[in-house]
Parts: sequence; C-alpha cells; structure tokens
Amino acid sequence: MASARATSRSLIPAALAVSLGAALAATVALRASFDGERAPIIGLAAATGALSVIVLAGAVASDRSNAIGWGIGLLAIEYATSVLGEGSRIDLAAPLIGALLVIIAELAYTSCEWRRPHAFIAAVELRRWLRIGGVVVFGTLVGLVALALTSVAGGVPPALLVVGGGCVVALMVLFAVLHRQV
Amino acid sequence: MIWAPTARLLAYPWLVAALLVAAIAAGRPELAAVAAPLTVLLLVGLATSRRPQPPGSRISISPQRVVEGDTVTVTAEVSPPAELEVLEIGLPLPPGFQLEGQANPAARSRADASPQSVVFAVRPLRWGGYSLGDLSVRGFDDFRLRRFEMTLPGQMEVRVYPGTDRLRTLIRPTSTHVYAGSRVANQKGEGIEFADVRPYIAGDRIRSVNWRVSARHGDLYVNQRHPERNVDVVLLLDAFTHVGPSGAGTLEQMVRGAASLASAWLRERDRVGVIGFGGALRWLEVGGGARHAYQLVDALLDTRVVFSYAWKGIDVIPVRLLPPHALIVGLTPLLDPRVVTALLDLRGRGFDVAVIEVSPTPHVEAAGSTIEVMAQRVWHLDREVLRSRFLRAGVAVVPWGEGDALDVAVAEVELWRRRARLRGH
Repeated sequence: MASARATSRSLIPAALAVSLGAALAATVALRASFDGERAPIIGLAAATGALSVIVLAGAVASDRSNAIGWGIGLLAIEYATSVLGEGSRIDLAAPLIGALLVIIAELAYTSCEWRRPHAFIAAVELRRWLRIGGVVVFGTLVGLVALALTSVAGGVPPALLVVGGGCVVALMVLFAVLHRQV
Repeated sequence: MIWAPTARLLAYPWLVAALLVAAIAAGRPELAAVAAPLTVLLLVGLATSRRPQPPGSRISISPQRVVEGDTVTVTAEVSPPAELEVLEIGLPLPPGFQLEGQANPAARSRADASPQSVVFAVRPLRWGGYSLGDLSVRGFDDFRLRRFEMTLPGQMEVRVYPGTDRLRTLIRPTSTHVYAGSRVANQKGEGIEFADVRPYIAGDRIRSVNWRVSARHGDLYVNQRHPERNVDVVLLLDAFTHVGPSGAGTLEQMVRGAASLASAWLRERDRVGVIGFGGALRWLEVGGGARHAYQLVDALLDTRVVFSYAWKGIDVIPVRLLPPHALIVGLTPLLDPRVVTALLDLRGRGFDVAVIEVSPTPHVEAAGSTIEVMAQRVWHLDREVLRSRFLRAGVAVVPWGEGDALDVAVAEVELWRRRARLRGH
C-alpha cells in the first residue's frame, strides 16, 4: 500500500504529464486549424488528441503504466494526422514534438512508479532527468539534421524511402540484439 | 532474481517502429524526426544497461524475543551493485507489525560503494510467532528500461509475547499443594500465620509454647500455624471459538489474560499449566520456575482456533494435566457448549473451577430491527441462564470486557468465592 507521502509526490509528475500532453494536443490541433483546407483532418486530429489526453490521464490516475504507451501513441497519431496533406512543406518542429513525447512519457511512467512505495533521493532523480534531457536534446538535433537534409534534397525520393525502410529494419534488429544482450 | 523489462521497454520500440513505418508509408520525414529522440533514448538506454550481480547482504534481527509494543531492529548490510544507480531495500512486514519512523523502502546509491547499513525499527502490535528479515530489493538501470528485483534471504523467527497486566489479587484456591510456596494453607503445621492453640504433646518444640495461654490454663499450650504452600493452577483456554476482528478479538484477549494470570501465579512460586481446549488439544503440564514461564508463554503463542465439529469432553484431556486439588481457571467467551460442558464436568469431578468470561458482547453488531433487538435480548437471557448454571454448581463466573482491567475480574471472582465459602458451598 502506498503511503500518503508517496501518493502526493506522484501527483507532481502526473499533473505535469497530463498538462503537457493536453498542451501538446491542443497546440497540434490549433496549428493544423490555421490551414482551412483540411477541415475533416483537423477534426480527426483534435478528436485523437482529446482521446490521447483522456487515455494518458486515465493511465496515471489508475496507475496503469501499460496504458501510457497508448496515450503517447495517440498523441503521435494526432501529430501524424495533422501533418498529412501538408504537401512538400516540411514541419521543422517535428523533433520538438518527439522530445515532448519522450518527456511526457517519462513523467507519466515516473508518476506510476511513485505511486508505489519507493525510495526517493533528490540527487539521483536530478541526475536521471539530466541524463534524459541530454539524450532528448541529442535526439532532437538528430531529428533536425535529418529534416534539414530532407529539405535540402527537396523531398523524399523513392531511393531514400528504400534506404529508410532498410534502416528501420536494421534499427529493429539492433533493438532486438541489444535487448537480448542485456 | 528478476531482471525484466519495464513498461517503457515494452512500449518505446513499438512507438519507434510505428512512427518510422508511418514515415516511410506516408512519405513524411517529420514522423521519423518525431521518433528520433525516442530512438536515441532506446539505443543509449539499451547500450548502457547491464545485468547486475546479486548484492551481498548480511541481515540480523535483535532481539528475537520481545513483548508486544517493544521495538525489534532489523539491520541489513547491503552492497549496492555497480550496475544500478539506486538500490531500494524494503522490509516486507507481516500483519501486526508497524514500522517506526524511517522510510520503507530505504535507498542506497551506487555512489556508496562500500556495504551500507540499513536499519529498520519495527514494533509488533500483536503477540505471536512471526518470520521476519527477508528483504526485497529493487533497482533500475540508468534509463529505467529494465527492472531488477530479488529477495535477500534473512528470515528469522521472532517471538512476540503478550503484554501482561500486573495483578494485585489472585484467585485463592480452596486447597494447596504439599510444596512450599507463598499461600497460607488451610492445614495447620509449621509456618508464619497463626492458626490456633492446642495442648502440648511430647515432641512439640519449646519455642512453640504459648506462655500466656499456658499460664492462664495452668498447663502447657502450643501455637499452631498455617504452613505456606504453593498451588497447582491449570488455565483452560477455549480454543473452539473466536469472536471479533483478527488481532483484536476474544482469542487475543484470552491469551493476554492467561499470560497475565500465569506470570502472576508463577511469581508466587505456584505451579501453572495450560490447556488449549479446542479443535486441536494443546497443553503444557503444570510446572514452576523461570524456564517454565518461558515455555508457558511459548505454548500460549501457539494458541489458535481450530474449527471442529467433533464433540470433545474432558475425557480427551490427559489425566496428568489435571493434578488433584488443582485450581482450574477457564478463560472462555462461553459460546461453545463443549467448553461449558467440560468445565461443569470438571466441577462435577470435584475440581476447584473458576471461569473468567471473555465477553463477546463488544464484538456483537448493534441490533437494527425490532427482531434483532429481540434476538439479542433472548441471547443475553440465554447467557444469564448459563452463568446461573455455573453459579449453582459453585463456579464463579465473571465477565471480563474488552478494555477492562483483568485485576477487577479476578477480584470479583475472588469476592464471589469468598462469599461462597462463607455460605458453605
């Protein structure tokens, strides 16, 4: 049984995760709404965003960490829906969306971990968040570089798609290898 | 030992895969860029994650025999594995134990390379035998992609003895034993308490001569005294029924009462035995001394209700457990007819019997409807009839309510017995 202190501590990351998730969902929906030609897609994106916030809030409220992935996935779907049909214009804010998704997910998982009896050392938590921050910044830069290269290339040629597909497969294989090694 | 993926590792690869596949399928590089931070986190996290070695530990518990409410200290020296940033060390507490002050689990960081002492002070709230000392440890890798869990074995037996009330009065038995003790016997002999005077007969000690009476009667008279003897007491505990919440019902009250009575009698150098009369018969023969006191309390700790339909009378009690002239004190809620019959049978066989009724009334739910009120009144009347059966048989029955002092109940029993003796029961 979680202590009252553990429960109250878990409220901080939970509130941050849900509010950040809601803000991200709203921002993505609003950005898409400026483009008046894509009204049906915007409605779908907004609905997906709202659903994602509900799922995320439900997951942290009911301490179901397995559902957090679904909430984050729905947020990603909302963004994917909003960028569909944008033509050749490339959204350079995409890596930032990815960074926010990681931070929201980590906050939500932390909230669930803190719901149970846990030991808390402030210095250790700080180090952990600095590590996550560093990785997220690096990942964002990687994403930005990839987008910049794509925009310089003037779109996504079919050859690059094939290479990308190969990279995805290689990445998944790498995940599996690392996963087995640990 | 568990070294398993956390919910993160179950979700993140799927998200990355889905985003990258969607990026290729839709021809939108933004989706791959969204996946980039997550991909980097996964790659770095998995690359830096290492399976930890089981931490070394040394666990000790002190003391292993305590009285309810005392503090037990569990000390563990644990070396956190270098692969985990923080090792959480938790002490699973059995029901009836309370942690004092400090956090559970406690945390030890890998910065503390040398073995770290973790001290848990716990307070047992209920008597009994408990297994304590297994520690559960938990930790995560740097990005919390994998979880490490294991149990450090350190289980030891902790005996928690019931707290005893200091009794000012004790039930005085009608007859004493032949061994020296602290009770003034009814018989006349060598002792301190004056009993009577009688004419001198050859062999009497000169120091026993009562010179005043001798001078008055013109013949030698000697003083007679009551010798100090001990008594045999058998505590008969009703282990057929238990009323009330677990840990705070009639059984717990009964055992606490029995422990108080036994320690008081043993302090008076009397011999005490105990019989747990229930679905399973448990006993400890009468005996005295410090060693017997510990054995007796240990026997009381094992008292538990064993449900049984079998009819059991006093014939199942071995004869050697009931010494002649022993005082038998029944501690019972008077709910099971088998105990009632056994106590009346013992009285019928000439034993000196007294009953302390561990009252079940406080644990009875309040009556709501008229029928329930009526039923409770009938039940109370039924119990009154039962008590009057005991009283008619010359057995004192005194209710001992939850929270009441046992001393008062014992004094009431003694008062009733004194009156009964005067009436010539």
